[in-house]
Amino acid sequence: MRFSILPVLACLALAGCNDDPLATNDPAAGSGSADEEAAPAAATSAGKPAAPIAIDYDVIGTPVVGQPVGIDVRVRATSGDAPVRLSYRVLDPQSMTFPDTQARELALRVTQREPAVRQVTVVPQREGRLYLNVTAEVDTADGTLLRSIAIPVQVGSAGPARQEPGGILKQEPGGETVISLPADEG
Amino acid sequence: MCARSAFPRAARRVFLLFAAGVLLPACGGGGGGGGTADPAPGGGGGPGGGGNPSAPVTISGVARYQFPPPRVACGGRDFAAVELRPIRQATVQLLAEADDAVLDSVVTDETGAFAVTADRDTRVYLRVRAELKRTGVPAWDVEVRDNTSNTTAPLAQRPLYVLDTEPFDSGTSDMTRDVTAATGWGGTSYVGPRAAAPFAILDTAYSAIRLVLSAEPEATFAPLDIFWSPDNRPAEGDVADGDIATSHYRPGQRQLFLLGALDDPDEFDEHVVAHEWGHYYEDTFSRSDSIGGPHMLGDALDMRVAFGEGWATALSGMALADPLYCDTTLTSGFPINIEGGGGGTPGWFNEISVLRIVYDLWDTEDDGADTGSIGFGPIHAAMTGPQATTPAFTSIFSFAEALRTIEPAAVPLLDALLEEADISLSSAFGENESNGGQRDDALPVYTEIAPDGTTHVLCSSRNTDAGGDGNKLGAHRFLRMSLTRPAQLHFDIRTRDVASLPPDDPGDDRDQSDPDILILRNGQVQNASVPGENPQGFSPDANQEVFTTSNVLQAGEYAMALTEFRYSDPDTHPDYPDRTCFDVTVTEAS
Repeated sequence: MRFSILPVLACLALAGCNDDPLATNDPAAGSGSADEEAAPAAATSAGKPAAPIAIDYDVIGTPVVGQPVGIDVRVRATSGDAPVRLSYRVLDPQSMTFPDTQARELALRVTQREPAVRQVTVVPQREGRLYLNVTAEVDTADGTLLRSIAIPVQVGSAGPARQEPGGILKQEPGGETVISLPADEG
Repeated sequence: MCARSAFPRAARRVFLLFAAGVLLPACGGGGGGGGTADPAPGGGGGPGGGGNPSAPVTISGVARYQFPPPRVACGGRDFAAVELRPIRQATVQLLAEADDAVLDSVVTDETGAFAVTADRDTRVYLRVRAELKRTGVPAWDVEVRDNTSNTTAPLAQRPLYVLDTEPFDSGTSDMTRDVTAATGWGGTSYVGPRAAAPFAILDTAYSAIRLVLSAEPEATFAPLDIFWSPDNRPAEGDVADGDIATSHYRPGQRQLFLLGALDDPDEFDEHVVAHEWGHYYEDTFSRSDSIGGPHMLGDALDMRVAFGEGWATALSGMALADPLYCDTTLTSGFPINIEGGGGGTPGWFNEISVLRIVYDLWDTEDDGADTGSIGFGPIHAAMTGPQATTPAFTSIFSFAEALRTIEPAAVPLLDALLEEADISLSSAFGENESNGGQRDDALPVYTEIAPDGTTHVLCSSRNTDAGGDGNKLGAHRFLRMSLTRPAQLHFDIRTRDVASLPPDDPGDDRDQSDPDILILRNGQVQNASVPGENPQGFSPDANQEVFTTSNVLQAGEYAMALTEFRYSDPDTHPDYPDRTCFDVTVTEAS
């Protein structure tokens, strides 16, 4: 199955605003789904400005712990041709590793019409929703622009491991929940 | 059915809620309470430690957060040069250690100062809530919450971030206790709680509030929930997992999501936060017809998107009084020079052209055609007045017309800035515009039609939008129509040259045309809903959109957007042509 960060945003945006169930051909959109997080009709703005680079991907096959899984990463320029530096990272080293032969950085030349496609291989180390981080950098007259995405690699059915925010989830006497963060005092 | 990409819904994680402390009835109940715009530090109470042994004591201090500034040219965050900034207008509570009851509640002033009162010799602790609350005039209500915790609760009830001190004894005399929200940075990585993050976000929101107050001191701000988590990453999926795709605002829901994961955290990227707040402003104070979607710097965009994005970035520069928009990662980043940035072909379709015009109207630095400043007042009046009710779609054209109406004295500067950006001086409908951005089907900006049976040929183009975003220049064609009397209208839109489309596979509609049309009157959608189906104008019918409005359209001015849905569909057949033309005929229904 093919995934792309861009269609998600477009899909969300085209769903229109809350009180405007228009601009979509998806009947489910705007149908008032009770699940505010799953409904693609949830309206969104276009998001923050980004580098003129689009990244989408295919996770090939069903990821299994200990087995290499290939991910096709497609990089396309959205505004003219450009040299792009692509880098791969796994923020949680306990979740996935790279084979020794896997390059972590590479240079590409991409165009609007012809995406550059590179396959990256990772090896899941545990079950859960794991993430491969891909960053593309392109040099422009105004500086180096970046685009980062996190590619989910679903191994089994478990969810993602939480970053430890360092705070404590508390329920207050009135029922309100808070994340209590420690103050530095001085 | 039109095909859409299917995205798996990530399994939700449910976190156990650990109730900390003894649950007892609250005394004063945890509310933030309304503050005052210029609160006197402290919630009252006399000096302690004097002659009255039962007099309460005053606990005063300053609440601050650590802010790592951007490196030169936005090349990452400089944690070695961290600044201490005041936590302004946030709620500070004094709570009892025994039962977490709220004993006193005040609001910090512009310097972060606060003062609460406590009974003597009581075990208490201080709490700074990541919220801005004010009732009365003006009024606001901003909360920073964690979307990835307590995920069985609705988003609006997810946990609020708070900053807590260790418990201490209130003693017998007044005392000072300053509190700081630290970054948690340990030199090369985060090693502690990222306590500064929610308060940095809150403070940027307050800076944006102040900008509006400069123009409208009695403004009432609609409630806003801001969601941030160290797990908020640029992945698609469920926001409960932190998969928020990117920092973004959800119109209508008044929810703002910010990235926090280490690949691209945004909590200290003030301009990013303020940019998204700019969308909140449009949503609650003004109006935006933007269809959203990906937008890369330099893109030739749908004019509605170009204005919304340009506006939001300009607002970030105005709110922060800083024209260098900075979006950093921990070690790198990129700037947008609001004053002088280039990128793409200038024009009404370029968000950079829009942001420069709006910012140059406001700022006092002369550059190029920018030889003056009108301040934020007229801009705010235009956005909340004529721009919010324009019969056209929201764009730089409608904004310019709104500003001309509100502030005639601004016209010379406005026109100079428009001309510099190669944008025609016209009405909200962009008449006489001749800059088509070197794209197909960009001009005219609007095609005037009438319900008289005349057939107009209009074309929609993919142009450079290879990704199926559907929000680039030429994908939507704009029409205007003046209706002189109430009527039901019959729309007959048929795709021309169907033979040029890919062979029709009956099992896959992505190879055929799907025209859609949106109808607005003064910003209000006129397409009638159809129970169980798509609204009128948005049927999935192949190669045509034919309908009679089930509702009577009132006399007045109408704006319409016609598009080929295939250009918004990332799964469109690869051989689908880059340009699709339609015969458009509108008549009054008999």
